[in-house]
Amino acid sequence: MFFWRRVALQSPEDDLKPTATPGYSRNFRELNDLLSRGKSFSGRERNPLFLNLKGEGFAEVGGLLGVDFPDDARAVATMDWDRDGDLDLWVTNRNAPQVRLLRNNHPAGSSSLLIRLIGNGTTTNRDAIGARLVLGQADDPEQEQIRTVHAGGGFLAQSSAVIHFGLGESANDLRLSVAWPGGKTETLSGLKSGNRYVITQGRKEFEVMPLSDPIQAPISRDEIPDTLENTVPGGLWLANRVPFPSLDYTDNTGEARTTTSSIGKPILVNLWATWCESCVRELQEFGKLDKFLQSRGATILALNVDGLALDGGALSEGTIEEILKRAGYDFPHGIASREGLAKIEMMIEFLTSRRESLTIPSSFLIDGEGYLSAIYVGEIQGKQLIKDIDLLRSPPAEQLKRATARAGRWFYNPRQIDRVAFLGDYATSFAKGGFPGESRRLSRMIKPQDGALTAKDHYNQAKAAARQGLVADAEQLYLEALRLEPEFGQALTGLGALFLVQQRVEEAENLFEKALSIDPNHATALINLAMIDQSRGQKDRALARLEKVVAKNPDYAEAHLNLGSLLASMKQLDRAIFHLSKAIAFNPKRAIAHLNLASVYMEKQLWEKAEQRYRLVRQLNPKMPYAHLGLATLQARRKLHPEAVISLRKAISLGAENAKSYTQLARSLLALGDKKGASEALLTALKIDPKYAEAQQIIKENRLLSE
Amino acid sequence: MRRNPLLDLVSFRSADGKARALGICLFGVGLCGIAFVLAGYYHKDKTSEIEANPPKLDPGLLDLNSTPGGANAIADLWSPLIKTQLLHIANAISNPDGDEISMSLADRVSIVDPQQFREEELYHGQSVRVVGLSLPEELENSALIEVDKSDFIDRIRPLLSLGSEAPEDAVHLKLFGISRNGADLSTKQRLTAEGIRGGNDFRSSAVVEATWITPTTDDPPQLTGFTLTNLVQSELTSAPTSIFKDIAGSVLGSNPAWEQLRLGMNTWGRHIEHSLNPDFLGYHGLAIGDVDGDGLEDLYLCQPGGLPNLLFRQTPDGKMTDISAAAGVDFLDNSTGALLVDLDNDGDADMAVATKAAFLVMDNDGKGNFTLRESYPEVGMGYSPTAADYDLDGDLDLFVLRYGATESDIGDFPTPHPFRDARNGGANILLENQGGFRFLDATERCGLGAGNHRFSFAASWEDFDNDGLLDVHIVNDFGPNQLFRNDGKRFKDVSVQSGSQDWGFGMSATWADYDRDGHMDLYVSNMFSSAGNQILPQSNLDTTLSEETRKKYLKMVRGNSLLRNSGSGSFSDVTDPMNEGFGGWAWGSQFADLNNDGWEDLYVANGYITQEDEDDL
Repeated sequence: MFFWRRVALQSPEDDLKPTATPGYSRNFRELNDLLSRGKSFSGRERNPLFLNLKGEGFAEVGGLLGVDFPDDARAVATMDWDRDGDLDLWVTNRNAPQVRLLRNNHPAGSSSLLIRLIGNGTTTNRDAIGARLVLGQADDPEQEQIRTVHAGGGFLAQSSAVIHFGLGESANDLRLSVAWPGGKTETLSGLKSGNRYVITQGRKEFEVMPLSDPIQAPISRDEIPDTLENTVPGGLWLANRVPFPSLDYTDNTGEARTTTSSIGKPILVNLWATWCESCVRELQEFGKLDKFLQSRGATILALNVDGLALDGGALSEGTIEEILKRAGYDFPHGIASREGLAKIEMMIEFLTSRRESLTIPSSFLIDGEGYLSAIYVGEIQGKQLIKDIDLLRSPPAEQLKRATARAGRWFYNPRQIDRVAFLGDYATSFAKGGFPGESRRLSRMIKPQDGALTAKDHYNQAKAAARQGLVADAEQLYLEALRLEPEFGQALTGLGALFLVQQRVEEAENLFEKALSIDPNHATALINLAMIDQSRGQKDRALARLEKVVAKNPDYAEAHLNLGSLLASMKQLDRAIFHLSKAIAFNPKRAIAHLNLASVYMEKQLWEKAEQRYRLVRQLNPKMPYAHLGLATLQARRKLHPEAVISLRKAISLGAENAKSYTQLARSLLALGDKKGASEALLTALKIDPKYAEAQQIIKENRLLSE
Repeated sequence: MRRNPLLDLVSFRSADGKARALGICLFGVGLCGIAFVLAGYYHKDKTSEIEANPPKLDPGLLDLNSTPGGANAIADLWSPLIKTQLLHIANAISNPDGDEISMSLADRVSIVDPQQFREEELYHGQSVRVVGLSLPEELENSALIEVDKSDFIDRIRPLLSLGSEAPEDAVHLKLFGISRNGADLSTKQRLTAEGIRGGNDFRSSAVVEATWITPTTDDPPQLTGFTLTNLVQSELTSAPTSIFKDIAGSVLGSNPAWEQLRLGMNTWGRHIEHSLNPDFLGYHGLAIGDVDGDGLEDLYLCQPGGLPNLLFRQTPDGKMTDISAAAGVDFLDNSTGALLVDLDNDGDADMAVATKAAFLVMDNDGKGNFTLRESYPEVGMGYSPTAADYDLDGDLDLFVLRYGATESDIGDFPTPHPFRDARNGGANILLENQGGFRFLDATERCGLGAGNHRFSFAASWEDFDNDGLLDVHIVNDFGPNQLFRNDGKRFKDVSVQSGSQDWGFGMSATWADYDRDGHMDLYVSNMFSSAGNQILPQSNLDTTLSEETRKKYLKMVRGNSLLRNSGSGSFSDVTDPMNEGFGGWAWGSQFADLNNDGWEDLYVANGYITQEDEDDL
C-alpha cells in the first residue's frame, strides 16, 4: 500500500499505450516494475547435479548429495580446496549467501590424480592455458580421458587451472600426454593415482605430492540471517544528491507550510508517530542535540504521521505537543500531509529502485541548498547524526567514502554522471507520479552550469505534462524540444498526437509526415496517419500504411489491432480475424481486440463465437458498453428478451446512448409486453435523432403514440 | 452517431479523464453502434478497479477453437487451475492423510500398471545407486489400467518409496506443457519425490503425462489419466548422509568481509543507491588463481557497485584471508567477471576485471600487489572474460564479451531486436597481447568480428576438432550461439555447419568429453520455458509460422542442451529434455567428475530472482 497511489492522479498506463517499441519491451518494463515491488521471477529453483551414468545418460542427484540449494545461483567454479583429491565447488549467488564453498566429502577409496602444468613462458604461456591432456592406462588406450586447461569459460567463472582426473579405482601405471600450446607434445608415464603432480614443459622430472594430507574440515557455521545489524552504519549517504521535494505540512500553529521555506540551513526532516516507541526515543535524542545543532546552524523538523499511517495504532492519549514536551524536543514540528509522504516514497523509489511502504521512523538530512544528503530508515543514533551534520561540510572525497557501506576504491568516480539527465529523470518521475507542479519546480532547479536542458529533457517534460492534461504546457515543451532538435521523431509524433486531440488535423498530419520522412518505417507515425486517412474515408491508404507497420513489426500487438479493425470495416473479414487474433495472441487481455473480433463474428453470423467474445470482453472490462450491446443483440436474437433488456440498459448507462440502442431496447420491451416502456424508449430515441426511421416505424406499426 | 474520429495514440488523457476513442459504425443486421475502438481507449478509474477486482476469466467461455494464439490462451487460462490441482495431488501423494483430493480426480483414473515396470540398474558407485524403471516396448500400450479414485494414491506411492513421515511437500509435480485434446486437456509434468529406503536417502524423478476432464465451468479440472514414464530412482548408499557441505562460513567467516557476503542483493539492493550500480540481477562472478605464489589457490569475488570486490588468499589451514585493500583490487565499481592469469609470463597471476566503466588489466608484482596497467572503456560492463593464446605466440590474449550495446541496455533489461535472433547486441572484443601489458583490438582482423552484434553472456575456448588449435564458442541470449573454428591466427564462423547454434536464450556453456570418445562435447545452459513464456511475445505457438520456424522457437524455450561432438566437425543435440535438459533458469554450468569414477558429471546454477513475495511471476 503506498501513499502515492492514493494521492496521485491515475498514473499513465504505459502498458496499454501503443508505442514504437514492441511488446516484449513493454513486458520487460512491467517485469521491472513488479520486481521493484518484491515479486519473484523463476525463483526458488534448485541447482541440479547430473550424475554421468558412465556415458549412457545422466541422473539428477542434487538432492541426494546435498547441493540442490534453492539459491539464485550464478557462477560455478571447481577447485580441490582441501587437497583431498576430489573437486569442491565454489558457487556465487544473487541472494544470500553470496558465495558457497561446497566441500566434496566423497568417501575415501575413490581415486584420482591432480596435475598442474607450467609452460616455458616463451613458446608457451606459463599458465599452459590451452594445453590438451590425455590420460590413460598404459595397457588400455580405450580408457583414455581428455582435458583442456582453461582460463575462464563458464558464466563469469574461472575454475582452478589444476587439472583433475577421476579414475574409478586406483591405478598405478598411467600414461599422460600433454600437448603444449605453441610447443610440442610430451609424454610421461608411470603416474599413479592419489598424487598431485606439477609438470613443467621441457623437463623430464616432475614434482609429486601425495594427496594424503588433506585439510581437515572446520566446523561450519549455520544460519545466515538476512539482516544488516551492525553491518552498516546507520543511514544511506547519497553520492549523487537530488533536491528534496517540497513537502506540504501543517505547522504547530495550524498554518500550511512547505519544506522549501527552510532552505538555507541543514535540516533533518523526521517522520514519527505517537504510537511508535523508537520514534519517541529518537525525539528524546534530538532534544539532547539542541546546542550542537544550533552551533551548526542546523535544525530538525519533526512531522507527525499519526493520522496517515496505514497500519499503525490509533492516536494515543497525550497530544503530540505533550509527547514532544516530555521528550524535551524543542525544534520545529508539524503534521505531515499525504501528498508529502507520497512524494517521499517516490523520491526513495527513484534513488534506490525499490518500491516499498515508508518505515516509521524515517529521517532525511537535507543540506543547506535544499538537496537530500542522507536517508535514515529506523532510529538514528545521536552520535551518527552529529558526525553526519559535520560531514556536510567535508570535502567531496570524504563524503563519497561515507556513501558506501564498506571501504574500497573507485576506478570510475560514481559522481561523474550526466547530472542534467539524472536530475531530469528525477523531475520526470514526479510528473509520472502525479505531481506535475513538483516536477516543474525540480526541473527549474537544474542549473545552467549543470549543462543546458536537452531536447530529450524537454520531451520528457512534455510527455509528463500531456499525461496530466496540461495541453498548453505540453505543446510549449514539445515545440522547445523540436527547436533544439528538429528531427526528434518522438517529439514530432508526440506533438502530432496532441494536435489530433485538439482536432488540429492538418497540423498533426504535417508532423507525422515529417516523422515519416525521417524514418519511413516509423510505426507511431504510420498508425496515426492511417487513423487520419480513415477519418477522411481513404481506407486504402490507411490500409497500406498499417500493412507496412505490421510487416516491419510482426510482434506489435497494437499494429495488428488497428489493421484488423480497419480490415473489418472494409469487410475483409477473414483477414480481419487473422490480425485481430494476432493482436490477442500478443496481448490477451486487450478487451478492444476481443470486442472487434466479436463484431467480425457477428458479421459472419458466427453467433456463438461472437457471444463468447462479448462475454470475455465483459469480464475483462465491465465498463465497455459495446460488449453489453453486442450481447443484447444476440440475446434478442434468441428471444431472451429479459436478458436483452438488462444488457441494453447496462450498455446505455455506460454510455451507448444513441437512437439505435434505445430502439433495440424498445423492441425487447415490446416483446415482453411493456408498451409503456417501449414508448418511452422510442421517444428517447427520437429525441436523440428525430429522423431515426426505425423508431418511427416501430411506433407506427404498434400504434404506440395514439395519445 | 459518429464519435470523435480522431484519436491520440501517445500518452495523452484529457483533463476529465474520459475516454477518447475512435468509433467506426460497423454494419447493419441491426447491430449498429458497435464501435471499432482503436488503440487508446482509457477509462478513468480502470486501473484501480481492475486492481480491486481482477477479472476472473471464466474458462468455459473462451473460444478454445478459434485462432492461432489460441494455444497460448489455453495455457494462460488453464495453467493456474492445473497447477493448483497438481499441488493438491502432489501433497496427497506425499501425505495421504492430509487434504481431500477426491475433487481433483475423476471417478476412474488410468495409470500405468506398476507391476509391469522393469527395473534396470543404471549406475552403482561408491555412494550412489541409480535404477531406471520402464515399460518394455511391447507392453507400452497395454500396460494401462484403470483404478478407482480411492485407490489412486495407494498405487502411486510405492513407486516413490516415500517414508511414513514424508513431509507434505515431498512430492513435486512441475507443469511444463499443456494442450487441448478435444474438450479435455493433456498436460506434461515432471515429477520429483524425496523418499527414504532402508534408511538411505532416496529420490525419484519421472515424466508424467496427465489427462483431465473439465465437466463444468465451475469445477476445477479432474484427473483422468496419470501415466508415469522414465522413472528413475536414485539412492544414497553410503554414510555420511551429506556428501557435500557448505563450509564458506568457516573458511571466510573470520573476515569482516564475510558480513558483506552473507547478505545478498535483496538486502544490498535496498541499501545502495541506484546511481552506484548495485546490480540487482546478481551478475557477479569469481576467479581462482594463486596470487602470492605460495602454491595455494586464492579467490577473487566480484561484487555489485557500492561494495568492494574481494581478494582472499588461502592459508595452509584452508582458511582464507581478505587482502583486497592491500592488494589494490578492492574496487567498488560494479564488477561482473575477472581472471587471474599470467599475462606477462613472469610466473605470477595477473588480474583482469570487467567493471561497468571499463575492462581493467593489472600487473602482479609476484607477492599479490596489483598495479593498474590498462583500462578499456570500450568494453565496459564486459561479461565472462576468458584468456587463451589464440595465435600461439606464447602469450595469453584476452576475450571479453558485450551483452547490450546501448547504455540503457547495460545493467538493465535489454531491448533485443528481433527478439529471437537479436542482432543489436554489443560487440565482443579480442585483445591481442603485445607484451608488456599492451593489448590491441584484433577482433576484426582475426575474424571474430563476424556477426559480432549478439547479446553475449559467456565464451569458452576448446579444441573441438582436435587439430591442436583452440576454437571459441560464444553463448548468446536472444538468439543462436556461435562457434568459431581457429584456422591458425584466423577464425571461421562454423556455427551453422557444426550444428551447434542451439537457438535459445543462452547463459553459458561447459565442455567435456562426457562419453569418453575422445572428442569434447558441449553442454549449454539456457532459460527454461515456463518462466520464459511470461516475457516472450506469445507467438511462439503461432500456427501461421512454418513448421520449421515453430520448431526452432519451441526449442528456444526448451531448457539446457547437451551437444555431442560427432568427431567430424559437427554436433548433434542428444538432450533428454526431461533429464539433463530439464532446467530452470540456468546460469553457470560446469562439467566435473565429482565422484571420481572417471566420468564427468554436471552441476548447474539455477534460479533467477527470489524475493520475499512467494508468488512467482
